[in-house]
Amino acid sequence: MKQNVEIKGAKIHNLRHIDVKIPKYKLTVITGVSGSGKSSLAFDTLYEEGRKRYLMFSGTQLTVENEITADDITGLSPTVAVEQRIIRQSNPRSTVSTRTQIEALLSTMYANFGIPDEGYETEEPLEAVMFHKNSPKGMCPRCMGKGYYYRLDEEKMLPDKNIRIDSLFSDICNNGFMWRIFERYRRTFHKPTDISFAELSEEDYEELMYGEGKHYKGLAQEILDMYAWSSLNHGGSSWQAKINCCFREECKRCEGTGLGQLVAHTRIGGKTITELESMYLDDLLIFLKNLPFEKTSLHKELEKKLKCLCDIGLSYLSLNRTVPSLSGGEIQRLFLASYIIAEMDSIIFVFDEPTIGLHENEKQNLLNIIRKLIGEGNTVVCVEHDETFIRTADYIIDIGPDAGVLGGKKMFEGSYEGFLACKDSRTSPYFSEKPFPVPGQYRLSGGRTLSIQNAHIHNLKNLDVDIPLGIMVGIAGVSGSGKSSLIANTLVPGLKEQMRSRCITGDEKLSDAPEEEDEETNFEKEEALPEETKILGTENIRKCYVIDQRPIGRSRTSCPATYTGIMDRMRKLFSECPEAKARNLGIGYFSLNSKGGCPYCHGDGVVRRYIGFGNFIDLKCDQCSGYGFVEETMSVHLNGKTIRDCLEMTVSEAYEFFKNLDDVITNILSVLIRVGMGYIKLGQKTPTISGGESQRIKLAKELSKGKAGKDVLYILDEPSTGLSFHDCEKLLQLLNELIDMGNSVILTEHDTSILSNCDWIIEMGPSGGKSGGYLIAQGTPADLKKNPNSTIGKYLKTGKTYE
Amino acid sequence: MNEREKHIHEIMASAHHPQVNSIVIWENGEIRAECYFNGHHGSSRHNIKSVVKSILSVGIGIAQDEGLLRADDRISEYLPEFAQQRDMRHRMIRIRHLLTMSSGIFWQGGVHYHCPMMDAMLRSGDWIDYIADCKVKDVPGTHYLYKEFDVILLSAILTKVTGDAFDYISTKLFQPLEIHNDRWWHPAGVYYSPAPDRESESVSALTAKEMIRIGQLFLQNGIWNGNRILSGEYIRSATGPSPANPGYGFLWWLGKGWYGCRGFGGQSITVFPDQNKIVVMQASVTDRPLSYEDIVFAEL
Repeated sequence: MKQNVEIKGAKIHNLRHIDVKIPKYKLTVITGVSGSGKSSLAFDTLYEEGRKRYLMFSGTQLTVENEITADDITGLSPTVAVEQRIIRQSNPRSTVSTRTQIEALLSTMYANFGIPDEGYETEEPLEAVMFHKNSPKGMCPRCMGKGYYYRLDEEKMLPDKNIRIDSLFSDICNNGFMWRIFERYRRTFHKPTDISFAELSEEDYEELMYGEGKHYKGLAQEILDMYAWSSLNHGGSSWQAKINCCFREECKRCEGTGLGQLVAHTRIGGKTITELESMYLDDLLIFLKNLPFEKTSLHKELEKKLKCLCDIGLSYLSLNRTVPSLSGGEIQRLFLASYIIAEMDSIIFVFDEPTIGLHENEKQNLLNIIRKLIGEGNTVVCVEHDETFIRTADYIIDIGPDAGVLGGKKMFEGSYEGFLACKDSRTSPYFSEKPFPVPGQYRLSGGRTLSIQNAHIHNLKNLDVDIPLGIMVGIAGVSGSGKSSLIANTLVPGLKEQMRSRCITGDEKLSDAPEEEDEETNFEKEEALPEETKILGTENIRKCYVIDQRPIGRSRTSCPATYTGIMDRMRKLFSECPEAKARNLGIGYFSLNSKGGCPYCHGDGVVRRYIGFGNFIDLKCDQCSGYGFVEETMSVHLNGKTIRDCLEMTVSEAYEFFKNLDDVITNILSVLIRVGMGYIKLGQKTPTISGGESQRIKLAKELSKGKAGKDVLYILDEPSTGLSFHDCEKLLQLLNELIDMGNSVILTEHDTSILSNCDWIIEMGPSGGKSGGYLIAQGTPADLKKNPNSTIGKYLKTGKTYE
Repeated sequence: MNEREKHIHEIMASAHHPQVNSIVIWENGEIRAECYFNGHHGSSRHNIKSVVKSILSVGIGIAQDEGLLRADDRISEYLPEFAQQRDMRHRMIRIRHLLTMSSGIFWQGGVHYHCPMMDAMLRSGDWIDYIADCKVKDVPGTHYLYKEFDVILLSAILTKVTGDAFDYISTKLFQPLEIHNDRWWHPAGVYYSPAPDRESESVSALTAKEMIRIGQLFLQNGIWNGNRILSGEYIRSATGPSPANPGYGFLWWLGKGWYGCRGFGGQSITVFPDQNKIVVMQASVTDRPLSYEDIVFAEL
C-alpha cells in the first residue's frame, strides 16, 4: 500500500503544473493567501479525482470527464469533501434533525414507546412516518408541516372598495414586481381597470383577487407570496407598510408543531417530539439517558449520535434548527459528525477551514476528533489559515506566493519545522520572524456608546451592554454563547427599527424576487425586537452598514460584477463602442438578462442535459459557443476585449484593464483588491462564492460609494473567514482607516489575531446554549488577558507596552 | 346458456382474469347475457367501491331537481367550516367543483383510499373540519384531481339539505329501482361508503343486475317505469365533459361512445348510448388496482 497520495502536474485553474505528496493517515494542512490555488488543489484536484475514480469503479454512477486536473495521481482512496461553499443549503425544511437522521430514530422511538394523551388514544399502531413533518403521513395539512402560514386580511387590504383597480396598483406599483402582476391581469382578462372594486361583479372580483389558475395567480395570492418571501428575507418594505394586510400566524390546527394532531399529543417521558426537538442537544442527551425504561439499540444509537454532535461543539443547537440558518462552520461540523458516526477507515477527508466559527477552546475538541479519525486509519487534508491548526499539522503544503496568476506555485511542502524556515511563503513569516502585528496602543472611544438594555432573545440573560463607538469592538465567545443573539438578533433589528433606511443591510432589492415563488427560500424570519429591550445612543451614528455573509444575489446570473454595479458601467462602455453604435446595439445587448443573453442557454453558456440515473451533464451551448451572449454582442470589442473576456478577468486583471477607461469601475475594483478579493473573477457565479467572500464584496461595495465620512457604524460577522494572515492584515488596515476617519466597527470574531487588534472586546459566555448568554468579560485585549473570567484572554496577544 | 353467454365464457376462459365474478349485458330493453364465475350467481352481492360516487351524483341531481340546492351554489352556504375564510379560496368552491373533482383542495393520493390524508382525516373525528383545514392549492374549477375529499363534502352537503343523504337516496333512487342497499358507513356523521375496512364497507354491496338499473336510468333519460326520477338536464351535465377534465363529468367517467361508473378492483357500469347497451362487471378486490377494460370494451 502506498504511503502517500502523489499528485503530478496539477494544472487546474491557476495551478502551475505542481507536484505534491500528501502523506496518508496524517493531518495535512494546505495554506496560502486567498485565491492562491489551495482550493483548486484540495477540492478540484484531490477530491474531484478521488470521488470520480471511486464512482467509476463502483459502477454506481456514470461520470463524464470535464477538465483534466493533473497529469497523474496515484495512491488515491475514496475521498469525501466537507466544503463550505457547496453546502450552502437553502431548503428550509432541512433541519439538524433531518440532516443527521436523528428524526428517523426519534420518530421510531415515539412510534414504539409513545403514550398518547387522554382523548387521543387510537387502536391503530403509530407509524414512524406520522412523526415526520415532511412526509404526507405526518404533516399537518393546513400549514404543510411548517407550523405557520401567511394570511391576508382583505378588509385591511381594501378598506375602501371604492378605490379604482388601477389606482390601487399604481399605489403599490412603484416596484416592478407589482407592475408585472397588473400587466398580467390586463393581458389575461382584457377587462377594464378604470373601475372600482365595488363595481366588479362577484366573479370578476374573485378572478382579480384569486386568479384563474393558469396565467394569473391572483392579486391576493401574489401579495401573500411577496410578503412571505420578503419577510423571510428582508423584513418588510415600503408597499407593505402602505397596505398592511398580511400576517404570519402560527398554524391553528397543529399549534405550530407542523404535525398531525394525534402525534402532537403523544409523549415520552412527559414530552412530545416537538418539545424534544426544541431542546439543546446536551439537554436532550441527558433527558434520553434518564428515561426510566430499558434501553434498546435504538436508544443507544440515538445517544451515540447526540454525544458525537455535542463532542464536535454543536451541543448548543436544537434538532429543529433549520440548516439554512446555520453558519458555514456549523454545517461543516454537522457533516463531519455524520462521517464520524459512520466509523469508516481508509477515507481521505478534505475540509475547508474547519475552524471557522470555533472558539480557541473548541478548536482543541475538533483537533481531537480529527486525530481520532486519523487514528482509525483515515487521512485528513484541511485547507486552513488557523494558527493552531498549522502548528499541529503533520505536514504542510503552501501554495502561492500571491493570488490568481501570481499564485499557483508550490512554495513549500514538509514538516512544520521546515515550514518555519521557508522564506518565500506569505504565511510562514507569521510563525517566525514577523508575527501578526498587534497594536501598541488601544484607541479610546471618547465616551459615545450604543447601549443595549435588557436583551433577552434566545439565551441572553437580560443583558445591559454598552458598546463604545469610534473604535473597533470585537464580540467574542464560544459557539452558542450569544454573540449572534446579541448583535444579529438584538442590535441589528433595533437599529433597523430606529434608523430605517439609514441602516443598510446590503440585501437585494425586492424586484429581484423570483416570479414563481413556491417555497419560501432561505433564512429564518428575523424576530422583532421585544418591547422591553431598548437600544439607546443611535443619535451618535449617522449611518449603519450591516455586512453579513449571506449570498450577494440569488438570481442565476448574479456575480460580483452585477452586485457591485461594475456591470452597469461596463454595459454603458460597451454600448458606446463604435462597433456597437454602428450596429445600433443598446445597453440591453450587454446584459445576460436582456437582449444580450443567448436565448438557447439563457446566458449560462452551458446546457444541462439529463443523462439518466439522476445524473446531469453540462454541455457547452453550441448556439453561443459557451459565451452566454448572442453573436452581435460578442462582435463588440472594448480595447480588444469582449464583454465575456471582461467577465472572465479577475479583479486584479480588470483593474489594470479599466485603469484608464472608467474611474467608477477602477474605484470599486481597487477597494475589492484592498479587501483581499483581487483573485475573484468579475463574472464568478454567486453559488460558488463563499460566505466570507460575499461579506468582503459587500464591504467593498459600501466602501466604494465615495467618501464614507464620519459617524458610520460597520457591523461585520467573522470577517476573518477564508482569509490568510496576509489578507487579514490588509483587511485590518482598511478597517483601521475607517476608524481613523471617525467611524465605528463592531465585529463578531473567533480569530485571535483579529481580536487582539480590537480596541475593546465584549466577551459572551461562559459556554453555549443555556449555560451561555452572560457577559463574562469586557475591556481591552490587555485587560482580558488579566481577567480570570475571560476564556479568550489567554489566547490574545498584546503589544510590548502591555507586557 | 345462450349463444352470447357461451361466447363470453369462451372469451373469459382465455383472458386470464380469475378475479372477475360477474358480467351482465343489457341491450335494447332487456338482459341479454348473465355470466357468473367462481361460484357466484344472480343474487351475489359485490361491494361497489367508488361506483357509489356516481350514485351520490344522482342524489345531488335529484336534490337539484327538487330545488334543494344548485350545482352553482357556493359550498360555504352549506358548510359553515368553509365560511370561516380559513383559506381565502374557500369561498370560490362551488358544488359543481366537487362534482367534477376540481375543488383545488390539497390532496396527496396513495393507492386508492389507502392514502395518508384519508387516514389522518378518519383519525381526526371531524371530517369536514379536517378537510376545511387543508390548504386550497389550486384555483377551484381549474385543476382536476381525483380525491375522496370532494365526495365527502358533497355527501355532507346532501345530508345538510335533505336531513339524511342515505335515506334520501334510498327513498328517491333505490326504492323505485328496487335496489337493496344497507345503510352506508357513517362513523362521524357523514355518509361515505369506501370505508377503511371491508367489514364496514360491505354494506354498500349491489348485485350485478341492480347495477344495470343505474345505467338503465341514465339510458332512459331519468325515467323509470313511467316516473321521472332524475331530470334529463342533470344527466346531460353529469355525462358531459367538465372544463378541468374532458374525460370526467359529474362523478361519472366519459369516453368515446360511452359513459359510466368505475369502482376499485374492476367494479363497473358502462353505458353505450348509441348501441342502447349496458355492460356491468363485478370482480373480487385484490390489493392491486386491477381493471378489465379489455373485456368491457370487447364484442360481447
